Amino acid sequence: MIVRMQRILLIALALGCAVAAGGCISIQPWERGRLANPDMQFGGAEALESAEAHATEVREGSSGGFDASGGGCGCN
Amino acid sequence: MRRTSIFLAALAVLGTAARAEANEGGVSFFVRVDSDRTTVVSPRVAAAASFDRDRTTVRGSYMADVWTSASIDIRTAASIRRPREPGQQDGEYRAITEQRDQLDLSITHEVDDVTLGASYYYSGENDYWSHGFAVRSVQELPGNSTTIEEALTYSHDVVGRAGDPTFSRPLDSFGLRLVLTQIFSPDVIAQIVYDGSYRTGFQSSPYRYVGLGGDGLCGGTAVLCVPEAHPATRIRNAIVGQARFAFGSSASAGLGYRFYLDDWGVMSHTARAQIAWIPDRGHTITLAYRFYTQTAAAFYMSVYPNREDILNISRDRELSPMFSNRLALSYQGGALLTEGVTLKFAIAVGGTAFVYPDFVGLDEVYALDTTLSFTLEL
Repeated sequence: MIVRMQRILLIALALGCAVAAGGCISIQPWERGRLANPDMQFGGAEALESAEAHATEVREGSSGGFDASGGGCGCN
Repeated sequence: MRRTSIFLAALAVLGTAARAEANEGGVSFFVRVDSDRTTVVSPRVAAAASFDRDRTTVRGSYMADVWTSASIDIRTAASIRRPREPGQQDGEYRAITEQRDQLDLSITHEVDDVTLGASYYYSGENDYWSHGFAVRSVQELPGNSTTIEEALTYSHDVVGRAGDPTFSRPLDSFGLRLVLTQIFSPDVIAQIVYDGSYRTGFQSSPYRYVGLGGDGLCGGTAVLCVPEAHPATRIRNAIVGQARFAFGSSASAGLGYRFYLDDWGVMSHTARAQIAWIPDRGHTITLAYRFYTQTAAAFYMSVYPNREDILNISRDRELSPMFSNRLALSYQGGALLTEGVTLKFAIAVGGTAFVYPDFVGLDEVYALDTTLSFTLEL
């Protein structure tokens, strides 16, 4: 288990370094129009996805990471 | 808290919205049916209001989760409480209908390049109640191309058992979420997420029984049936990497991957891909695919031997090895009704196939779901 945890931390560190390498990039405000479109958002449309995300999460052994799916059980 | 309190809280949010500078309100409707004889219907209403030159935003939503089920869990539990009569068919078990109510409230406030937020949820059903709290902070780093988010969460659940008012077990969960979002170019944005939690308390199902020996089924040839018993603590870790790529103004693609590991021995991989097409300004069509696979918990066995020295024992298909494939198609559009009033509408249709290679009594589940939503922006 400890080896697996170390592996997780290494993956996180590697991903963090990769993203941090982009930290020196500066995109001007007028260049961000395309990024503001709904299809470029990570959160997605909450009204469209929250119920389905909850229904999926209660049927899998994993949780978290992607978008939040609310609380409670609803373990039908 | 009961439904009257939820209704009053919703009225308070709407009253707040009436004094706001910018408002948003919407309704949505979710329906899911699957081959495990379960139907879920979830209507949801939501409202948001912004103040102080849009620096403060208050959001609230209410969702009902009404489900009718005669799933494998219920059929198995029914076999304990009410032994099958000779000649009785499996399909004759009575379906159960229940309702879960969920209320979400949140507030965010922007101070320069920092956004602070707090949120609360209540979820209640006849045998499970949950209160959840979260605080979060989002900072934009110099250059405004990098965003860092930290969130702390806590939830307190009470697990009950229908028909047994003396049964009450607590479950507490503490969580940490770290998010790093990076804009690489006007067309590429990426994100990594760490999501960890520590849960302590009752994490079994009070309804599930595990058959020892025989075919492992309490309604079958098992020698002995005992209540499910999961460990009292669980540490869960999830790491996500995801990115979006724009191809001109009318198309984009998204990729995402999640690695999950917990100290019960469940390890999973989740891959997501989506392509989006924007045929006209304000209209988006998205096709999304998701693959999920997991290993079993270390203590999970499809059939347990009839021994007394087994500490943890489970009849939970979520802890068995499984994989699933999901495909969904959605449309999001909007229309300007009058000056300053926009109606947004969306519809999504999806199908999921779950496969359980090592779970006695259930091999596959096929599910279909659809969501319809309307949002009015003022």
